[in-house]
Amino acid sequence: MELTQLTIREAREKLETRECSAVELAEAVFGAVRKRDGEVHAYLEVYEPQAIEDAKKIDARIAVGEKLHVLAGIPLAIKDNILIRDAHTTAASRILEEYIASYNATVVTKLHEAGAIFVGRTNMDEFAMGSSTESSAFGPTRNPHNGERVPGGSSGGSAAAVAADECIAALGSDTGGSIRQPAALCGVVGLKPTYGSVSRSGLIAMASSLDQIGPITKSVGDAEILFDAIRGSDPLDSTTVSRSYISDPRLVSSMRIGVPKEYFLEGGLNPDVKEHVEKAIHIFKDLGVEIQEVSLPNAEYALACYYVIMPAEVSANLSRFDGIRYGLSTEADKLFDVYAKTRQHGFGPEVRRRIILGTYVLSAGYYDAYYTKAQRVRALIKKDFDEVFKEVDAIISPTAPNPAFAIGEKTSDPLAMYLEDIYTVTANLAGIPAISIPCGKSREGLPIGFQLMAAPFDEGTLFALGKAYEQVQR
Amino acid sequence: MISKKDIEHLATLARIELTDDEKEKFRHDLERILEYVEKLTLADTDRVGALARITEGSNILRHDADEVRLASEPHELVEAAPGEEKGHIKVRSIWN
Repeated sequence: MELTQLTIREAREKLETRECSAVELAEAVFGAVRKRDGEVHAYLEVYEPQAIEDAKKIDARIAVGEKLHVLAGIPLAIKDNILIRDAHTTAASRILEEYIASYNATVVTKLHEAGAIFVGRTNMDEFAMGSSTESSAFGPTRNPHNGERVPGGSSGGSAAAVAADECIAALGSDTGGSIRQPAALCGVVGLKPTYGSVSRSGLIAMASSLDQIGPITKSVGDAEILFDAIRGSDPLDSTTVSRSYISDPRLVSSMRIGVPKEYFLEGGLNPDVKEHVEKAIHIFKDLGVEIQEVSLPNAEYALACYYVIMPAEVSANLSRFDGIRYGLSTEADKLFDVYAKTRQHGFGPEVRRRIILGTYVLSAGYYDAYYTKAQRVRALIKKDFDEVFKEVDAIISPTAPNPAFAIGEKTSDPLAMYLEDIYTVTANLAGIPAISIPCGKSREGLPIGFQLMAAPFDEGTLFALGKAYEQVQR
Repeated sequence: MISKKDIEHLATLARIELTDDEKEKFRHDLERILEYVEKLTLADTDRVGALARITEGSNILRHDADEVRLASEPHELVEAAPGEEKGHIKVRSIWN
């Protein structure tokens, strides 16, 4: 097996037994980047010299027998909306093309302390708005399984980097599915933690009540390791919650999985996706997990709810990009025009579309009809989940309604693109944890993933079920 | 449902300049999206309040301290600005 194909656990073992060095591991990863990234375009920038320097330091510490964190010396890819001090962070936008981060995201500080190696920053949909990574101002990323297809989005670069073995694991961010959907389309694991588990300090904000940073990895066990390393309350993010995480000691045969009847109605679900998700349900049944039908009566409103709340928060969060304190600034005589022209030239069409939509739903006369209404529907959706989690430990669904679509296929119709999020937005609205796990390939050889959702702070159930599933697949 | 004037008003509020073609494209897109989200009116929300916050918690204050360590030096932040003069961020006059 190539060094680049190792999981975090496997790489850690080889580093500890000195079977390979951190420098060799890093060099192998950069070799893979050189070989594949010309075609895949997962990365916007790589940090080879710094990474090799850091790897040497890790090797020196291993040599003197120092006990290190499980992530020490592990090459990770970081999504381009997570700030790394003194490095370019652009959110794949022209408006931040020259911006250099002035501080570290809290998750970056934690990973630095653990001794992780940063391979580079990965491509994404501009400001995390999209489900295909096609709206990046710096070109699309290609699905490593089929170069004519999208990797999903918005964390398409991170998912593609993991799938193409151009890193051992990656960080992404998820507002409406942006970790899980690309993970599903690229055949890797992606976790969106419970809202408040991982600090958003240093994450370029998209929708503050929905965003979470999370791991994209080759295995469920790796997702658990990376999640454990980045979680924690943070005085710099007052929405973080102090909570401990312990591995769930229960046997999966004592667990119950709910199948929402609203998600498996006839029509609208790609037959290959349906087939493979149903197979996954059977595998859980064979493991002794109890399967029962549940209902999420307000699920049909989730996408509409999301596409009111998210653009509203986006319109507020992106108002800081105005050509004054950082980033692109278009010259103009009047101050108003500095703002208006900078934002016209700096933001791509999808970003501008969502800002305009958000401005509309928040504007006088429409605020109650749209935004307040959507917030109430959000309360209904959360209530649905609270009720269901009284009966079951986890809920299963497809992650994405379709496998990877062709590049350019959905770009002319925003609504068609938005419908890709139909199974993922609910977890962000309810603030619950959700994981996507690969479960096979379509007839065209494209990866398919199923999604498990659990009650707030119950990532333990997701990891236990996920690992049990993986064991069977092996 | 959405007129060109509506889009122009929104563009002003959002401080984004749009070309005429863009105004028409966004007008059309907005109309389609609003048509889709119209289904929210069918949800029975009479008995729930707005969900404004996901996590519990009260205001979090930092400790009083003689010295507060900043994540970045002031000069670094000023240097990041597009316009700078004598250690201050330079902008167009607000009176224009």
